[in-house]
Parts: sequence; C-alpha cells; structure tokens
Amino acid sequence: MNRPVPAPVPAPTRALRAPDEVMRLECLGASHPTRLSFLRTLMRRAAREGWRFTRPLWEIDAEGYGRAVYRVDTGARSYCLVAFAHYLQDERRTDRVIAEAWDTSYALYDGVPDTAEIERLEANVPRQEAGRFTARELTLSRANKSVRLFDSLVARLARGAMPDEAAIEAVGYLMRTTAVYGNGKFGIADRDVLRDRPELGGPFQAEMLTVWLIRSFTLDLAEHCARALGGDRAVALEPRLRRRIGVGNSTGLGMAPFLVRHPTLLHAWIHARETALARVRALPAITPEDHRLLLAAIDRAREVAGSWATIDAVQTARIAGLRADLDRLHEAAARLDPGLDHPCDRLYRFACEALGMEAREYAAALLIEPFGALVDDLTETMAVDEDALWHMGGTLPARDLLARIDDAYGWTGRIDFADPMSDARFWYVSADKLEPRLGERREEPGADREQPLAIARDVTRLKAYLGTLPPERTVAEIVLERPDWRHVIQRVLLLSRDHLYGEVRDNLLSAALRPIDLLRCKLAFFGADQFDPRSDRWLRISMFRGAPFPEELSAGEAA
Amino acid sequence: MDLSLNEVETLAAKAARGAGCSWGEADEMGRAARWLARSGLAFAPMLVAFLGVHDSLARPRVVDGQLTATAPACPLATGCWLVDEAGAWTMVDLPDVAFPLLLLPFAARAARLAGRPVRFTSREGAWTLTALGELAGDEPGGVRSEGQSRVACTDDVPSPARPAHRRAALEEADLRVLQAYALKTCVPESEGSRIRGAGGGGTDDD
Repeated sequence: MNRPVPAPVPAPTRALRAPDEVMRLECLGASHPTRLSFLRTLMRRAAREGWRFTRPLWEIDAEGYGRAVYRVDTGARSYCLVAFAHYLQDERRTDRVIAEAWDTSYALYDGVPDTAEIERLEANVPRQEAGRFTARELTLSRANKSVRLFDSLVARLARGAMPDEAAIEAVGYLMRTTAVYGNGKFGIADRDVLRDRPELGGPFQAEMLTVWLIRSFTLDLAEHCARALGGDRAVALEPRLRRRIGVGNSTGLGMAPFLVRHPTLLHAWIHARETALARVRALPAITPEDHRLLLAAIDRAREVAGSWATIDAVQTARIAGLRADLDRLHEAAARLDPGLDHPCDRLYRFACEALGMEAREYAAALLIEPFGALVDDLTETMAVDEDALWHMGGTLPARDLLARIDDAYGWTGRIDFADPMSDARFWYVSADKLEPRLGERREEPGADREQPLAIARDVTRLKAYLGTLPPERTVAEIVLERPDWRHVIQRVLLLSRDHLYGEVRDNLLSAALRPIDLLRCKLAFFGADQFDPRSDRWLRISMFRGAPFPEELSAGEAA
Repeated sequence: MDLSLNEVETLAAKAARGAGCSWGEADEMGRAARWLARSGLAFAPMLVAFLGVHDSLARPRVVDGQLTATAPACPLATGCWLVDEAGAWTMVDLPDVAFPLLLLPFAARAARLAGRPVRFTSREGAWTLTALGELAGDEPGGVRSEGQSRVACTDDVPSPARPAHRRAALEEADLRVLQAYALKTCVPESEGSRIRGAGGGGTDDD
C-alpha cells in the first residue's frame, strides 16, 4: 500500500513511554505545551525564513469599528488576515456556539485581497456560519472582547497611564476566539490546498497564523481606541506589558470527537512528543549551557503556574500541587550534575516518583525545551496523509483479528459494560447547531442516533461476536455480511498495526468522563496554556501569551 | 451551490448514514463522493438516486470465491469488497450492480493499493484508473443503467490522469435531499439538552 515513508531518525536508546501509560485520560488531561506545539513550530519557521509582516489597511473609526488587513510575505507566498470589528450589544456577547454576532471576525486570505474581495468578505465574514465562502479563504474565525480587561485597559491608556498589571495577569488577553474554522468548512479552502506548501503544510499552521495575527489586531485596536478617546494624552502600552497579552479561546465539546475521529493524526502527535522525550532521556550527559536553559525553562513554568487562575475546583487543587511540585523540580534540577549518568532521565524519574501528574507531564514537556537541535525535526512527522493510511486488508482471518484485539485493546478488559455507569453517556450531534454533544443515555432521547465514538464498548462487543465465528472467516467476508462492524474492524486493524498512540485508552461513555481532558490534550498540542475549565465540558485557554509579536521576531526569540 | 471537497465528503457520509448505511460504509461513501467530485464527475444526482433505493438493493455474497448477487446489487457493498480484497484479485466479474459508476472510486482505490492500473468495463464503456488511483483519459458518460461489469488489473500504460477539481457544483434540489438525509443522523434538541449537553449555562460573557 501507499504509505508515506517516514524520514530516517536517530533511534533513541531509551524506549518510549507505553501507550497504556500516556493514552489514559488522566495523563492526556494533564498535557502541557512543548516546543513541538504548533504555534511554536509556526514562530520558528517565520523567524528562520524571515517572513515579513505589514499592515496595509487600517480603516477603524473612533469607536473602534471598521476593517483592517495584516499581511505576511513568506517568500514563496503572501497571506492576509482580513479583520472586521463590529458594534455588539452586551446581551448578545456569548462564547457559546449558539452566538450569531461577535465583536470581531476574521478570515485568513490566500494571497492579497483587492477592494472587491474585501467587500465580498465584509458581506460574509461577520456572519460566520451563516455566510458562504470560497477557496481563497483558508480559515474563518471570530473573537469577543474580554469585558473585564478591554475597556479598563483602553480607559487607562487614554488617560496616559499604564493598565493595572494585576488585571493583565489575571485575564491574559483582550479577546477570546470562540472558533477558528479550517479545512473546507462553510466553503473555505480544503486542507489539501496547503499540503504541498511547506510554510503552512504542518498541522493547524494556518489556524495558528490566524490566531497570532488576531493577537496583533486586538492590541492595535485597543491602542487605537485609547488614542481616539484620550487624544494627545493617550499612551501606547509598554512593550513588556504588551507581551503579557495573548489571545484567549473558549473551546467546547465540538473539539472532543476530533481526536477520536483522527486516530492516525493523534498517534503522530503523541509519537513525536514521546520520541522527543526518549531522545533527551537517552543523553548520557548535557552541557552546562543546556543545564542552565533547563533551569530557566522550569523558572518560566513556575511563572506560568503562578499566574494560572481557574474557577474549577479540581483544577485549582491541581495547580496548587503543581506550584509546590515545580519548586521541588527546580531544586532537583539545580542539584543535577549535567555531566553525569543521563541527567535528563534522572530528572524525569524523579518527577515520576516524587511529583503529581500535572508536574510529571510538565517535566516531560520542559525536559525537551533546551534541545531543539535534537528534537525539532520531529515536527515534520506530525502531519499525516490520513487517506493514504485508510485500508483494512480483508484477507486477515477472524482468528488473527482477535489476536490483534487482545494485543492492542487489552485495556478494554478493565471496563465492565454490565455496569450502567459504564455506558451512562452517549455522544450525538445536535440538529440545531450540528455540533457534538454528550447526552445521558437513560434520561434523554437520541441514543438511537449515537455517534460512533464508543470505541471501548464496540471493540468489546466485536470481540464477543468474533468468538462466535469460524476462525478462518476473513475480514472481507465478515464485513460483507455484517457492514455494521466495518468501522470497528477497520479501526482495530489500522491502529493495532503501527498506530498504538492513536487510541485514548479509557471509556468515553463513562459517567465519570471529563471531556475537558480530551480538549486539553489537543489544545496543548496547539501550544495553549492557562487551562481554565468552566465545566466538565468546556474551558478557556490562552495562546501566544509571552510570545513575540510578528514584527519583533528574531531567530533567537522564536526558537 | 459550490462545495469544498471536505463538504462533499462530510455531506455524502452523513447522508449515507442518515439513509440507513452502516457507519463504516457511510464513511466509504463519503470518500467515494470526494473522489468523484475531484475527478469532475457529478456525484450528487447519482448519490440521491442510490440512497433512494439502497434499502432494496441486494448485498453480494461470496460463493465459491465468486462474488454473486440477485440483481441489482448494492454498488457501495460491492465497491467496499473490491477495496478490501485489493491486491488479492487481478480480475473480477461483477454481478449486475445498480449505479455502476459508483464503483469507479473503489476501483481507483484498489488500483492505488495494488500499485497497478485497473481497467473498469461495463456495457456503456470502459475506463482506466491509474496506479495512483486517478481517473485516466476521457470523461465517462452518465452511466446509470444496471449491467454486468468487470474490473481487471492491466499492464497497459494509462493516459495521463484528468486534472483534479477542487470544488463541486451541486444543484439546489440534490443538496436539499442530501441535507435532509444527513439531518437524520442528528438529535433534535430541547433547551435542556442544549444547556446540559454542551455543558454551558454558566457566565461566559465576562
């Protein structure tokens, strides 16, 4: 079959952490961003290739409404973020997907739009899902103001004063995006278009570029409003404070099924991260300079943890534990002799033995931080041609399929599906907004339209069914007779072969499921931090906080 | 309406599921529709007609190594079998299949998996699928009638693949039918399920 041939990589001498360990929700739900995260990858490329950023259009009125264009020239091509700012009544401002209007809206345009194109976008982009788009639009997005911070920051700047630093730290952003759409949604360009463009071909690179430019727009807009309000008295935000402002994001259940429906992609992401950790742990010694960089990374993590605020009781307790654990991690790292006996491995093992899950996973992320030359090539393995991998191989007999299930899905034996709590929930798509939702199987109608995300339950049932068949019966014969098993068998065959990090090894129907664990895993790969669960089903995060702005890029800063 | 290929794939898969296909075969229908659209073939009228009768079509069976069916057979089930067995066959005489043009995407994928060009022959004509799974040569006509067909690996060098289309134009009537099928995969909601199912209800405007 046609399968992309992975680039040769130096084999780590230390084994990767096992899927049974890292694919548990407890572990995925403690994910932290790493240097392999997608926004870091984007900034490194932009710095390395000397992308040029300009703002060719700024037509914003004194109230802060109008349009603007941010342009990036990557060398090979040009892209533009086209931004619109609108008046929004306070009572219509909501992060929920049911919203129909927003403070600002955006499209990432493939090329440079002329006036007619900007007008076409202006007629559609503010309407978001209700608009209609073309292959020139690569992403579609919108953001609402943080009412807590935006107005107070503008008022202070207008009076010639710097904003309250504590308020900036408490919120962390001026606006929150509530969706960033890509891949053909509402008529925008398919991802295929980007596949052969190195600058945006990696996972979610167009989305990351969109959010990075939105960050610039939100700050430019706030300073513009301050000047309009305060005239000559108004001042610009100090660069140091500017840096502390990222972009917020509210993410709900819509994102959760993605990881289940794209298992080969999930495998590629986790496999890259785990390979990076294994390479670093395999280093017999590190230089004093790398040791210093590691300590600096832990120090920055302590700052992040120090300003990490949430209303969620579970996460609040975890953060308190994390702060203490990061202090201990720093002490242990400071005591390390960098020249002796696999220092990174020793520190990782200390984290496993002495620290909680939040800190252990943070340690796993921080350990690779100084070693870009050793691990950054792995970002090239994080994009996957899912279609090319999609093949079942129908000649396999039932006997071998059962063996594959025992091998790769032994973890399903932990779950007792006779217990009603084990299938208490069901995933469905709402007719109203066409968005994924989670229902209570025994209390709500709709379980007859359950989405095929019940992996553990369905594999358990498949195993029982296969036991009733002649062991020589082939897979192709089975699914010809019983097409209802097709998606389960296809998945087992695909993932059990060589995508063992593709399956979340927990029960997604359980009464105890916290869907935010799935969201956090994906958001950490984006590069998000400051995870703030607002319920068990949606959370807020921030992105690009502390990161350079496009115009400030230098290779050193983005690395 | 002008659709992206991802919209084509998603719509076709959901419509197939809504019309009663299994999840696995519905996904295959989505991929097949995307292939047809990329090849510049009008998938939507064919899909609408197929989903309208798919309940009454026969699922083929393998008898003595031969694919058989009481005509007319389901092109989706037949196509899936061609792909699942790709590499294990060099020539297959197919039973009467409804909407045989729907077999083309599956023959194409089988060609790609086997790494060999495949020739698809029915009463109306013949087409060649390249070893990369693309449609070679001239545009097929509107093949709608049933009839026996044959797929066979070939060593002939196919003519160059047709240029890939990036969008698909759908008639409003076809789009409405497919959307109506797709909606059958969704659960109508109440305000209660809206708040609980999405975990909202708290303050989110601060």
